[in-house]
Amino acid sequence: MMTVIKIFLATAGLLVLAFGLGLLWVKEGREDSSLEILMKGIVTAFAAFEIAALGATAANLPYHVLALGYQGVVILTAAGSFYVKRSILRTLGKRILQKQWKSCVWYLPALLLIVFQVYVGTVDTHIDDDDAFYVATASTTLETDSLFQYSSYTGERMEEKPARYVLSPFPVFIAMLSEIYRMPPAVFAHTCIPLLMIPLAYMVYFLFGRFLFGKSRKKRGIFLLLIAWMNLFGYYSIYTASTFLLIRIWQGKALLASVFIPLLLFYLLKWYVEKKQQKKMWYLSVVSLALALCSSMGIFFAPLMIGVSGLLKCVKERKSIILFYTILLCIPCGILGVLYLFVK
Amino acid sequence: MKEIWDLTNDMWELYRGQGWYLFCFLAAVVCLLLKRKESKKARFLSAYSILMLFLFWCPVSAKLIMDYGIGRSVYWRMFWLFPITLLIGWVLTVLVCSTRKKTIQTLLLAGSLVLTAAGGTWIYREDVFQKTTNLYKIPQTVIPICQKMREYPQEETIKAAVADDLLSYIRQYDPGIHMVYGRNTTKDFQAETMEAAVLYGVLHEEQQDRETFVSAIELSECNFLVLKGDHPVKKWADLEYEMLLEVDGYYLYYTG
Repeated sequence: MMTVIKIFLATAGLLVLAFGLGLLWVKEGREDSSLEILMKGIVTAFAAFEIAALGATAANLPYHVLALGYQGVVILTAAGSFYVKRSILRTLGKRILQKQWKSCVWYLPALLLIVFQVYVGTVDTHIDDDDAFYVATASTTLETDSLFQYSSYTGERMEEKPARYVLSPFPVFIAMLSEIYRMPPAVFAHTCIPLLMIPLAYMVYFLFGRFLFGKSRKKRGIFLLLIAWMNLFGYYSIYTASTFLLIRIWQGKALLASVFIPLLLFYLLKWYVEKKQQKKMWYLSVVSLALALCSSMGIFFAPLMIGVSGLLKCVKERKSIILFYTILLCIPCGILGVLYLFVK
Repeated sequence: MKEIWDLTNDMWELYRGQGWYLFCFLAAVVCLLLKRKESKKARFLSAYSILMLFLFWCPVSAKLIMDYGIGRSVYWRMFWLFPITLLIGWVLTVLVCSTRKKTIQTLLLAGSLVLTAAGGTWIYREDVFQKTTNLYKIPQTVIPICQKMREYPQEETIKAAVADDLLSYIRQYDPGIHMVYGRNTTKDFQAETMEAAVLYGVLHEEQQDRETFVSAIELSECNFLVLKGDHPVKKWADLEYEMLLEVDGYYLYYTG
């Protein structure tokens, strides 16, 4: 019972902080929903950790300095954001109270499938040998209070840091979260991460559903049901994003495939479709950093996705300046890519 | 170029697996392409998918991505960039809601669910998920072995050589236990030290003499050894070292 309360309180606290970070991106009079604000906050938290961890690793700082420093900045920023954007909170509160909750019944079938997936992911066991690196890196980080200085495989001090993983320190992020939840990293990764991240994946598809189908909750509900259903039958190959979502979501590459790549695609779709997205488009760089945190493939995939989308937008609007903006958006991952070649 | 083309083809087959989702995705792309003039969203997602398919299949871009991007062995990860479930879900939803008659809607939805179930494979299988025996979700065998290493005797550093089956899990449970070699050795044949390489080689020979085995253990400076019951060197370990624990057919020895 205490464990359940611990998980509930920690999750509630993190969601509040993420919401606070998300408010940073909201301007007065804009129609951002609570869910979009929350997603922006989560992405911001991921992107900020990527930068903080890179800096800490390069400076050979102990892990606890990174963790405490990052948490301190996040808490202060979120608190400040809540204060500065308090009028937006009032607007959001009114919107929630005026919501037509009856029509949310269309989401029920999808919700049942999602709850089932979360239940199996949390309660049942899938044993994966790749955790010898990912989970053991999180455990090693806490054990040695260092960042990539000791081998996760043997526990011995390493002569060189592993370039690929230094640039995508998702296991260190897991280590920090496991400390917040007061659990060993292996327990946190295998039980709590499915509880947190599987719903996160479906929040992305919820955003897609709202964007594709507008106000029709029926269509959104059917869409979400089909997505959840297809994920249940996604084991036609062990390489599918569905497989990674439901079987090993605690690994960075799984989060990349099933949450952040679709999320980046969502924002790219909005960028293409909506006019007057000039200022909002810089947020794509933040999302690309979140992809980079999850996996070194994110460092390559994000610019590829942004590049393709930028090209399509340039053709649509017949403005060559868009190509220039596209290059600018790829700079964060471009820098990481150069760093990778340099460190390698 | 032919090598790249063949590899790309292999990756397609790997990802296609036992289902027909990739073909449904291609059909969805065609549907969206037909609707591109009516909808900017359809235009973007169809064009994006086509461009990504082109980048995947074109030998020039494929080679660049394989050699300078993500690597050849994991080129199948390019499929993660294709919005497969998104497009299939979108097209099927539009199809289901294309009629106002509730009976036909229900039939279309049921048909969609049957189609997508038949075209895929159920994920919650016995070979994928097992009943949980501990909160760490590692083989239960690992836990008593780690606990025994911790309690006997009072060693400053615990350094173990462990059977391949359990290698991946020891440091997930107890990162304070050092290993002579890890999964990177069994998977990629990369040993972090010469001593680790020697011990790994000795423990993976079909036949091994006593002196070589004992020398390799001493060279590695490990103080614990975990062997499977049918390991060829178990008979030497029984003679040379104190057996601390037997669990599920694995034997823990103190070699310090």
